Amino acid sequence: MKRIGLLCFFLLAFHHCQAAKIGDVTTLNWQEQALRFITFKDPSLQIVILGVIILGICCGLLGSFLIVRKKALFSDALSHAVLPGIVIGFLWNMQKKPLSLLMGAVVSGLIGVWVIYRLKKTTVLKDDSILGLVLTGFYALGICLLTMLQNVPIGHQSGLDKYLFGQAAALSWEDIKWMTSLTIVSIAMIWIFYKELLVSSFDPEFAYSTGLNKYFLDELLLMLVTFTIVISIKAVGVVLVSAMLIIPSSTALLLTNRLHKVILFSIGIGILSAVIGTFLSFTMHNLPTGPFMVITGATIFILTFLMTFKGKLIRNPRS
Amino acid sequence: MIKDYPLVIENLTASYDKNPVISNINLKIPSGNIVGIVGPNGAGKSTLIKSVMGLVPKYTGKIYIFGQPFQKASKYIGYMPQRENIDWDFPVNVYDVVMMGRYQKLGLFKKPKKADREFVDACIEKVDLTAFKNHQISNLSGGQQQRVFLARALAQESDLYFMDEPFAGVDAKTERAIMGVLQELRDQGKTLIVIHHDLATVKDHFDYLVLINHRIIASGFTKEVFTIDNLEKTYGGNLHIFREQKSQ
Repeated sequence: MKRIGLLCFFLLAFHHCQAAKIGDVTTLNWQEQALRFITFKDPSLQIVILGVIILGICCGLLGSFLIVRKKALFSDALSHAVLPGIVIGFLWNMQKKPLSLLMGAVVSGLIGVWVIYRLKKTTVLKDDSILGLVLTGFYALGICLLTMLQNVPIGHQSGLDKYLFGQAAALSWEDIKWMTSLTIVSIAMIWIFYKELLVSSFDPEFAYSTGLNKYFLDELLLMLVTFTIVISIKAVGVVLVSAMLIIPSSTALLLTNRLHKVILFSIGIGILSAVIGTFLSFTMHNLPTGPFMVITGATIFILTFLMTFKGKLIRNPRS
Repeated sequence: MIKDYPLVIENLTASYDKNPVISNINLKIPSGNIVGIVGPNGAGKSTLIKSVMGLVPKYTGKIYIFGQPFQKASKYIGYMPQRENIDWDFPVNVYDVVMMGRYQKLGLFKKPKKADREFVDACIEKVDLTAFKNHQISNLSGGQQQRVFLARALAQESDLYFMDEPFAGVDAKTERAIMGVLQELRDQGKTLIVIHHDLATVKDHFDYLVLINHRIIASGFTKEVFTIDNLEKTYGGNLHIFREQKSQ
């Protein structure tokens, strides 16, 4: 118990020094900070709030499909696999251009996915081992590249270490443009292919027997999840982005038993977690944004669990 | 000719990996029959129907569905998979699952219309599940879940059906109810290919029979093919139990 306490202390201390805060940019008290947040007038705050709302939408939307397809941990492996790509994307032109970081992250993430599929096909290893292997391997590679980058003269100014735990305050209008575009693409794709995604998630064999393309839907979803992870990591970080994909949709699954409602609830809970997390981080001192979004999401999950556990919210409680 | 034989298989060999599960399969299934595919466990019954639908990727040989390859003929096919392969906690209700049967007729980009919704309701009514229409599927019994899949197959309005063990784990009453629906489809001129494992009911259920054990042992009308001789060839030494049952 003592050891766990000590471990928690170090983890919290580590989070404290790594994760960025929005609240510490000013010396206002919490009431004034809350007023600033609610009035939505501060331009830098507008970017942050808009960014986390988009993040909540995107993560809630794609997270629902990951959960029902039993691919929750897949998103965790994928989010860690993008880290080396971000560093290489920076090294490409030694600038923190969103496009090159995005491209690096997408390529690195897809290499991670390719490794997962190859190992699955050619070895006897099971999913959990393969995901653990890729997750830790790519993450370690990313950390090594990141540490090496810190030793390069321009490298220590890159701020890439913020990608580990996220920095919502560092979102720029260019980031918002990318996030908005990719979110619109995700919503459009899921709107268009909703019934095909539903049937292939529920009963793949039946879906393919009706002539649906086996690979197209899987690859479409994979691309959308990769995009979602890539646009979210700046705000929540590679370590915690999968939480924003998993927690809101898991909560939604406790509340309803139809997929379209799971998606809508999940988006709502995603936005709520992101905004409340950012609000708390903004109004109180020393509270990091990314981890606090996740803590808010987890709190909503616990409350939902306690309420549904007593059969108050759902009609047909699962046994 | 094409209409007389909705499914023609020529020299099919199918495998999940290097070792073929079924080999040298030649079949001509006549239309308007309930066809039983019978054989021991691991004989390749499911592999046979899955390879017809392209679900088992590697195969040699040719398959014609109403004279066309699967890619062009998938619209004529209805499929009822095994219940065991499904996550019954998936967030869908009975209505949603049966509506999936309409998706192919709807095509891409289109949402279900009033006619589709009414047709789905009629299919649910046919399998006697109207009272459970809005129930989440995990709240159904095994027999009810099987009937949901039957209703989905009905919603497909196909001419050729493949059914993987539709009677597995259902009680006698549900089996009779499912059989009633299959006979009705047969009487409408449709062809139903059904994987089955209970030898005691083969004679009652099927007009036509395919006996399989990695290769075709015999195929033909049930009264001609369902003989002790053929069954022994199919099941090898495991048939003594059946012999005992018959002699009692």
